[in-house]
Amino acid sequence: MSHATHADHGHDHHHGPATLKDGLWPWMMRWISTTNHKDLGTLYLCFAFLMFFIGGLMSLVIRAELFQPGMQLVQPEFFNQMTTMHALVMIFGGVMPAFVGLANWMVPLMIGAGDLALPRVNNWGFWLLPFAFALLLSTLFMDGGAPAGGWTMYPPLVLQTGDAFPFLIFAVHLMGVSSITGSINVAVTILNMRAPGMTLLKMPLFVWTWLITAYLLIATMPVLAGAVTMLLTDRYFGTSFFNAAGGGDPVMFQHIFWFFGHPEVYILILPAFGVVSMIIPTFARKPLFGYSSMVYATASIAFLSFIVWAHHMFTVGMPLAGELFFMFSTMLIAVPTGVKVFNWIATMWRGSMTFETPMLFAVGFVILFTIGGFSGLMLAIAPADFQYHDTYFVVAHFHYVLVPGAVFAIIAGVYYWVPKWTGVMYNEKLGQFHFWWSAFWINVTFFPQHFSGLAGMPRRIPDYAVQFTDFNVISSVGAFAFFFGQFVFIYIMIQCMRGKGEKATDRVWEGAHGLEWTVPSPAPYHTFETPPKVEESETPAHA
Amino acid sequence: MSQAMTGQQDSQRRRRGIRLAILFALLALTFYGGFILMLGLR
Repeated sequence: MSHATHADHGHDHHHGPATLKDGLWPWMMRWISTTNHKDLGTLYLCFAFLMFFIGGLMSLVIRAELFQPGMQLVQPEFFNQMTTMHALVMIFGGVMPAFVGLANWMVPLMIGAGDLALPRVNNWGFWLLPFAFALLLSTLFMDGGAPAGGWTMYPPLVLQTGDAFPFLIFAVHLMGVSSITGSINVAVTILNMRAPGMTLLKMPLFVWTWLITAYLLIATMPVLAGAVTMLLTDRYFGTSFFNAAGGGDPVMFQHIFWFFGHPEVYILILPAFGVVSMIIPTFARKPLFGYSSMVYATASIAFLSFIVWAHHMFTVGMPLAGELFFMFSTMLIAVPTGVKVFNWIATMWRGSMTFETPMLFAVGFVILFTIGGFSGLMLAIAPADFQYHDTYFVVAHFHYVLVPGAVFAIIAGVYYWVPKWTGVMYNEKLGQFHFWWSAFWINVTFFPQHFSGLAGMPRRIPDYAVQFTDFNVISSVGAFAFFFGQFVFIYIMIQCMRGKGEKATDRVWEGAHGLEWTVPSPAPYHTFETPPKVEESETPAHA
Repeated sequence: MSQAMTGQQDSQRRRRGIRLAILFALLALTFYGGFILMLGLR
């Protein structure tokens, strides 16, 4: 790649990456063999978008079936496959790769590094994903269908999966390897490749949240891999890790799964906190309020995430001391999370605010994520959880933190940085329409689920008692409207990729600070080959 | 303003990066094997 060192300025295709004009084969090989962090960021984001689309279609199957009580569209077995696959695809194929894509693009630019520390590992980590999801999605066409025991893969139910079982296990292993290599790459880049003067406490919040997320991933993805390996040996090699008849313990799987699963929740949301912490100061035209407290709050959340896992299992039959410990430790998470929410509000307080699309999604995030946080607090109360457990209240809770939470943050980040990636501004009017459409319909979709859940409607069931009909009708209408609204987003992004739109300046946003805004728009294929000098004005605490 | 790294600085940084990556990978492997071993020996 060194031959392209001086190709940055102004000359379009002299030494740069192959485009379609150079022919189909060179263009394809460029994307398959690329080690460039910007290319891989783009690949991750496109892959995530495809998975969001597939996972979204699965959710529409679910919502269509639940539009009325009784069975009308699909078989119950297929319905269970849809709930299981929707979760796996959205979590491991959508949200996680999307944040890795944002990290690929932005972390090197933010810390003044030329690329990620291990570019070839980066390529490998990405290209594992299409294979993992080809394996997983191929199970939809197999005897016995796709996995249908829920994304949590609890034994003994999951051991009843048909031919899909080994495919599920191997796909999870591949996703795990991809996440681990990706997070090692991000962590090493941040620890080892920062430009001189970019001390840890001068790093942008997005970089901080990703560093902490990387630690969480390195510590927890192997635990998931270990758990599914044990499922595999239980099924095929006669072990009894989770088989009571052989002296094993099925509840142990739940403990191990959630020891991974709860930090996973923060893996999905910490980078979102980072994105929002970048956007709000820009559009409030004020430095982030309480920068160092934000860093410590993020680290506290990460630490606490390891000691709260059994709040997913209050009804499993734990000793009272266990119930109490996990109840109080869970409630403790509200403290650093509250610090963050108050800091975002304090950043906006008396700022010169404007509401471009990224800011709309970021403010929407703060408000709607907080609703998900509050219902989380309700679920943390062990005695109350006996009523809420496995109801639609839980579904409402985690969709509030994941959709107007994580997904809104991803969308906000894409609108915020797309002018830097493509060199053109997106269509602001359509962007604002996209926000209001999404924010309205997402509430129509998920708010009624609180009520049906509290009234006792169980999750993962294709049929329901007639008294839940109204809430489900509203929810289904909302889901379809939200889904089809996202085509506006696709249109806006395609226009940007085609270079249609107002030319973006280097700084792009008036209030933006940071090294990423000192490079031209679009960002050249190679940036910061020589480490830049970090100006005090480009660091977050002094912006 | 900015200053290029010398070859020596660059190779030192590369070595440090690879060491860090191996360390993280070993950590991940420990978590993977550790949990299986813990349950296997139980």
